[in-house]
Amino acid sequence: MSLREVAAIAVGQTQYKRRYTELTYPELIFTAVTRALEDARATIDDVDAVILPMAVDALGGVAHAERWATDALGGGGKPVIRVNTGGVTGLTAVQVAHDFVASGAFNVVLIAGADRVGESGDAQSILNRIWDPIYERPLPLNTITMLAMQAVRFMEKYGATEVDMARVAVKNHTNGARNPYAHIRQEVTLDEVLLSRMIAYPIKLFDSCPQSSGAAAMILCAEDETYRFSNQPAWIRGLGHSSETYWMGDRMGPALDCDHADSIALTHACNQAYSAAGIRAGDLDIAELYAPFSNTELHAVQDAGLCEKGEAMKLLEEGYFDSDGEIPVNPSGGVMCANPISVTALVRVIEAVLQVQGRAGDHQVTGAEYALATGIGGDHQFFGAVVVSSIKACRKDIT
Amino acid sequence: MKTGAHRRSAIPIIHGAHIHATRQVTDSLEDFIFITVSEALESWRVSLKDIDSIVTASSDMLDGRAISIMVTSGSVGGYLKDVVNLSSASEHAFLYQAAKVAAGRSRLGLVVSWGKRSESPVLTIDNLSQDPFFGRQVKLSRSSADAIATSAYLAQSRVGADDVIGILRKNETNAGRNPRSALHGSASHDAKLHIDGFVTCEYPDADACVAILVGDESRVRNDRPQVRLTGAGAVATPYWVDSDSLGAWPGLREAAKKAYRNAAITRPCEELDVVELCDLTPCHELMAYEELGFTDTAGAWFRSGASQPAGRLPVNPSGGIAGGDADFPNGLIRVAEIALQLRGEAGAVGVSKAKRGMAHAATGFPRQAHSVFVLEAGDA
Repeated sequence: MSLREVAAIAVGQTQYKRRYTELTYPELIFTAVTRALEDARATIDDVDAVILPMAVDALGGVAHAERWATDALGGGGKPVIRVNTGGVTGLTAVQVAHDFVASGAFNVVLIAGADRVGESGDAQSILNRIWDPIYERPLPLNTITMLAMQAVRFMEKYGATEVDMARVAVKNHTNGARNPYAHIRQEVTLDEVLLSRMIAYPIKLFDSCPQSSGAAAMILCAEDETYRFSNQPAWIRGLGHSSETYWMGDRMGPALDCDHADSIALTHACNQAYSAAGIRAGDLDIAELYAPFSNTELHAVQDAGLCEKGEAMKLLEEGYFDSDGEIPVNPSGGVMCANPISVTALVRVIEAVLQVQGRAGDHQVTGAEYALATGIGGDHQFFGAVVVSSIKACRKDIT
Repeated sequence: MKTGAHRRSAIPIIHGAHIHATRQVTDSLEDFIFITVSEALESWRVSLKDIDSIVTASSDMLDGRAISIMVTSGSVGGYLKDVVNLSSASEHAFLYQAAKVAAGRSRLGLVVSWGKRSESPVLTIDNLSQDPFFGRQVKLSRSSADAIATSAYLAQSRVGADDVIGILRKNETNAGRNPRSALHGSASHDAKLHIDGFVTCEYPDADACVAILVGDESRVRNDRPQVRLTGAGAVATPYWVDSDSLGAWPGLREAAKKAYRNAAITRPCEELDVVELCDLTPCHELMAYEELGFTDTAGAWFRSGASQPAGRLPVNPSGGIAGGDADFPNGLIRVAEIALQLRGEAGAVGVSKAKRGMAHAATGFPRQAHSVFVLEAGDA
């Protein structure tokens, strides 16, 4: 693990919703940053550096908007560094911030960003631009169809059904209804999910994440400095980051290396995080898994090691992953209840932090001490994992 | 680099640098990056298996596709590896990988940045990077922003047109001799320089890819000087340009101060042996002489020959951006050129016995953020 311990000492979020016509992109960020600073009882002068997660420029409509947002971030006189790894951007930003603090380069680092996915006009047309312009863009490729292919493969490999997917949707919507920041705060029934409009087989409307606008911020701090800001630091105990091939075709067919149904890179990332934290998957109390569509949560619980391969569906039906289950997954409602893409993975870490701090309100899982947050970016390509805990690592001194 | 609070942190060492720049690349972006990284790994005698971290820096706007790291991650060897992409500035990738090494989270990492400016609608990108309410309506561009800044500087300085032209000629001559420059071997002067109470300069486009190997001491080879990062400063300045700071670069001054403090430099002109800085226009190089603390009178200092290749403190022996403007990777190229100087691998533009060098990178609109790095060569 790293040189010095790093803790999350404050968070700030806006409500996630369809549009924020009353706030510009910098103003959204400013709102979240202000809330994080208030949470820390700090001022912007306490911050040494700023990391901004920002994925697709076109969703916000301004190229390199990290420059426009510099003042709202309080970045004057500090480095302002933008991370861009697609959907996992927010979690990658946590890794970047952590490493800067752990190295001693900075003591206090602010991570803050925003997105306005639903205000971009047609988000999926924009997301079609992640694909190769010559061969792939003319296909009906967007993030929904790419994960619909994952769903079909998963169903074939593990015998999952649309009903299993719908159970994930029901669970997450039930949880999201208790999260004051969630975009979608509406419970749904199994029948409502199954009868909702088909988007790309087998993914239906209620299996899908919303297109959200909103902002989030978190402050990381070196172990020696936490006393200045918080009596409930959430320690970053483990980090992992790995990536698969861009070419989805290489994850299909007889010569495949990684199967598109699964993600070995998520498994790698989680194992790196568990190893650094000195824990096993079974030691986790909650997991905030990045799952924008219901089928992706089924593979995620398996690949994160929360259950054996092929067991996700049965355990889901038994309530194993419910908020009062053995290992609550997405007690916040997860990505299916809010997806402001640039910060969605940051929000997973924020929710993990709130859980181990005992500050998750109506969706608090009792006694949570170890929490996992994951992120996914690209075409199911980049994966990140963070383990946070209320328990600080017990370290041997090293020279 | 500032080290950890109470445990000894690893000092980031540059184990290799590689630049591939040309006027126009006909390969696809992915192939161009793959070829460059392959060449780099081969020249360094390093296998992908040895790499535990890859940090890239790219601009989706310049690359012409959203989340361009998706398709380019394979080209940098990112399969089943930790790949982090930064999109604020190419030099930030170096800063971050250095931090990973210092934190003990990476032992050997690859830093890569690229840009095919020959295919990119840079002016359109500039316009789209403006806020949509005011800036975009005014149609501010980098040229007009440079003109505003340089006019303010010229009004308050004793720099003349001859100084500006002299800087450009120096850098073009250096670029012609630099085997890594897009203008290598070229005798023509393609830059469009305009001086009329302000300065604008359109350099020749370049397509470039740059790779740097950054790790800890475990990879040190005895036949090469160790190039250590001993000082770093990175500063963003407010987006809205203040009329009081138009003719100056306070962000650069602040970044340099941080880097010099880390590296225990108090007299940069005497304590540095070679400098690579972002000459956004030849006038900006003169501004940088003052902001970096080399002199209070940039014109006179230049005229003394101090920044010439054989001068007291050679500046831009590579030719700088005048050797081909690749846009996004320009900053990391400055770092790579200094690393090559200190490793004794700079070829025809090598500065003899250079032990301590400084790289400056400017990015953002208009030139909003600055990074300064001090690198030092240890014994081979």
